This record gives sequence, C-alpha cells and structure tokens, in this order.
Amino acid sequence: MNTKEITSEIRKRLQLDAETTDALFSSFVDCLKEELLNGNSVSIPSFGILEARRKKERISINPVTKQRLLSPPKQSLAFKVSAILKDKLNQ
Amino acid sequence: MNEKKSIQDILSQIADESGATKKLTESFLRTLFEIAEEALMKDGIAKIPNLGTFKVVAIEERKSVNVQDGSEMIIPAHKKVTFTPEKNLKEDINKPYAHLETYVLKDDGPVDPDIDDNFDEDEVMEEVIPTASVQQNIEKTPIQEVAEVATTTDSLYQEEIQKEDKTPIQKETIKETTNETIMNDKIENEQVQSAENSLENNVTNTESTVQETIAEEQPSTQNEVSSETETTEGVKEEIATSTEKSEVEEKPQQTEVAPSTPQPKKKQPAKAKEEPKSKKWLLWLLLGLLLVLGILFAVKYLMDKQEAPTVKEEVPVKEAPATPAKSEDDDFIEEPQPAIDCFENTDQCIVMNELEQASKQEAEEEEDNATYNAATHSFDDRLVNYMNENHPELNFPKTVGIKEEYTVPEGSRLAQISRNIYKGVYNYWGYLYFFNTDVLSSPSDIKPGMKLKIPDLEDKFVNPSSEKCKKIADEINNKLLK
Repeated sequence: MNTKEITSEIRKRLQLDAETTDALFSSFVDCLKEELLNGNSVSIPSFGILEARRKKERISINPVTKQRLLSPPKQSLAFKVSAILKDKLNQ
Repeated sequence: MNEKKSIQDILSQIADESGATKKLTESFLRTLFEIAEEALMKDGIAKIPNLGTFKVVAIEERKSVNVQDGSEMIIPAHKKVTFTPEKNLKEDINKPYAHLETYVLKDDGPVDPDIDDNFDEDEVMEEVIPTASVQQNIEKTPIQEVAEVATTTDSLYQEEIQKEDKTPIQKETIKETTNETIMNDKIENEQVQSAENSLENNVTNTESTVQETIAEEQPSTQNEVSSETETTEGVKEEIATSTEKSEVEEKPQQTEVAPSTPQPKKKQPAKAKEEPKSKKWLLWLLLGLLLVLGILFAVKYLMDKQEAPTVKEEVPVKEAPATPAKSEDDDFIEEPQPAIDCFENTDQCIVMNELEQASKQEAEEEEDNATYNAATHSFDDRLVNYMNENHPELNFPKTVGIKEEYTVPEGSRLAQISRNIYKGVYNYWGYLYFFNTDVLSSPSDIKPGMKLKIPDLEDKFVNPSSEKCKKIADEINNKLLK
C-alpha cells in the first residue's frame, strides 16, 4: 500500500478530513523524531520499535581508486519488528 | 535519555501539536498501524507518509551452526520486516553528525620527505636551473646565441611536425638535441602554445600596416606575408614554416643582426611607426620582424629548457655547414637575397641606433649578472662553530657566494628543496637552513613563495654521491637542530 492508499484508508475509517490527517501525520513524525533525537526508543504496540542507532566512524576503501576514506560517525533510524507481527507474518 | 517509550507516552504531545483531541490522536495512531499491518500481510509493503516504508522480505532457509555445541542446523525460511526511513526523516535523525564529511586518509605513518613517491627529480631540476641557463646564454657571444637559437627552434619544429625534408647534416644536429627534446616534450608543447600566442600578437600588430604595401611590390614577399596571415589563424604548422623562414633569413645576416637580438620586443613598435620610408626598407622590416619572432620564441624556449651547456655549444658548429644545404631544400631560397640588399640600404643609421641600444641593454644585463654572482651570504655562527670544532680539517667557510635564489613552491620543505638542488639528497637541508636563518626562525618555518638563498658550497660538503658528506650533514641536522 502506498502513502495515498494509506491516507485515504485512514480517512475512510475515522471519517476525517484531509487537513486533520495531514496535521496528525506530520505532528506524529515530529514528536517521534524529537524522542529519537533525545536518545529514546519509541515502541509501537504489536508493530515494532523505532530507535536511532549511532554508527561509529569507519574506514572505507574505494575499490576503484584504492583510496582509504574515513567515513564520519552517523545516526540512523532503525526498526525492529515486534514478535507478534513477525509471528503473524510467518504463519 | 535512552528511555524506552511507548507511543502512548508521546500521545499528548502529538495531540497538542496537531490540535486534535487526545482520543482522536489515539484512535488515529491505532488505526494507522492496523492498516499498516494489514498492508504488510496483504501486499508486503506499507508506505506511511513522512515516516518511511515498511516492507516484508522473504528470507530463504540457510544452514548455520549452533554456537553452543557446534552442530549444524537449518534456519528455516521466514519473512522479516525492513524499514527504510523517508529521506527527510533520515537526514533529521542524522542532524547531530550532518556537518561531518568523509575525507581521504593519507598513508600510515609520518610522511617523510625521503619516502615521497611522487617526487619527480627531472621535473624539479627544471624548476631550479632556469637562472643558471639564462646566465650561460648571455655569457655566450651573440653570434653563437643566434645560431644556437636557430638550431633549437629548428629541431623542435622538425621533430614535432616531421614534415619538412631533412638533409643528412640537419638530421645529425637533430639527433644531438633529440634526447633533451623528448625528455621535455610536455614543456615543449606548452611553449609552442605560448609562442603561438606571442607570434599571433606580434604579427597582428605590425602586419596590418605593413602588409598592403609589400604585397603589391614583390611576389616573394607576398608569399611570406600570406603565410604570415595564416599564422595568425593559429595553425601550428604554419608557425613552424614561418619560423623556419626567419631562420633561413637570418643566416646571411647573422653577424650584423646578432647583437640586436636580446631586446626584440622593444624594437617592434618603433619599426612599425617609421614604416612608410621606402619599400626596400619595408621588406627589411618584415624580415627583421620574422627574425625577431623566431628569436623571441627560441629565447623563451631556451630559458625554460634544461639541457647541458656542453651539448648546446656543440650545436652551432654543426649547424653552420648545414645552412647552405638547407636553403636548397627550402621553398624560400629567394629570401636571403633581399635580406642582404636591405642591409646595404641607406637606413643603416637606424640599424646602428638599434645596435647601440641593444648593446647597452646587454651591458646592463651583464652588470646585473655580475652583481648577482658577487653576492655572498654568511652561514649561521652555530653551524660555523660546530664545523670548526668537530671537523676542522674540512675548513668550513663562513661566507660563501649565493648560487641562486630559490622560490619555495607550494607544500615544499627544506629537505625537499635539498633534494631538488643536491641531486636527490635530502640530507643537506641543514646547510640550507643555516644559510637562511635571517628569514627562517626554525627549519619548519618555511612558507610557499619564500625566497631562499642557496649557498654555493664546495663539492666536498655537498657531494650528492659521497656517504661522508651525508654523514656530516646528518650529524648537523641531528645535533644542531634537535
């Protein structure tokens, strides 16, 4: 399901107008982001956990030029699927 | 920090921000993930706006080893959920580290000058020597210089174009210079470019005034002028031929014209102004112009070109007999004739003036050289005292002549400069430092663009192949500079 289908589905089920859904979507992601940047993980019941993971700096080598590059540390968003959803999927 | 929060915990925040009620927000989020779950079950993909894409990926069964008892086991085929965050979210999450950039790592260990792999000695030597070779040029007799210049130009072009027929004698001379020419191939190309430019400029300046009158008069000059016009179009081969010509022309004139060569540029504008006097004179002017252009180019070429002076001096001798043979082959045999006529003309007074001017200029240049050579400089007392105490037998001089001024290139160090000057030996940088303590507060104080004085030291101190010299130099570097 793509974004359009999901938004229309949620509007249909909750009978919301487009503005409210948009506001809810953006504020949800904003708050989520804030928590993640504070180092907290956010769990979505029966779905999974979202967390920001810090990755250390590393040395990579360009396979063509054999240049050794120092990649900076970074933070990325990781998702771990919940056991419930996983079981459902693998049934 | 590092708390585990449920979506319930941030519910009120979301409600505040969106302006919706808490109840609505809760039901919204629950429905959202219900839909997402359904989508994953049904389509295997769920794209949530602003957040990202959840995707179900099927994993095939694979063999693995039980870590505890080492027994083989099979991980059964299963499905897993991957998540790819939306670009904006990803960037925002990485914001604390966003300013960091990947950079290229240098090889391990400290970079020592003597393990600099990219070092090209020939190239650097070329950078260093120009002043010396120019001096040599000036010291030679003018006639020699002209002949020399001619030969070099000649060989350069012939080798590049390989069009003109060569007489056997010529070939000999070319062989003489071939080695260096090949070595400096790159530089030659650059010089040809620059010469091209200068030729173009000069020709357009004077030609426009001269061309018309001459074109009417003499067919032979017509040829010349037309080919010169082509030169302005920037065709390299055309330049070659015109330079060839000028060279042929200058052969009969050599003795008379030679002294005026060092200052070719200054002559040109004056000539152009006095143009309408007589037609023969005009012809002479044109010939002179060609000659000047040839010499201009060749002098430029010689200034940058690095070759052993001995080889240079051999060349003119061999070139002299080549001249008649060459004129026979050449398309422009008629040129020498009018050239000689011109010199017998009434306008010799102008020539005389120019000769005087040129010789004055030459004298000035020589004077400059003299002062330059006479300049001396003293080593730092520390070095002199150390040498007298520890190596009195060497009789280290306190004051020596300045061999040359060396402008420090970008990223260079004393050891590197020493390598450039002393044929690849970096050990002698201590001498360089103690010779320049007036500008260098410490050996590492070196900056690009700095002018360093290079001491004219005797071979017994800076012999590039002597281990003893290196040892003493190392001693100085270690004891006095650490």
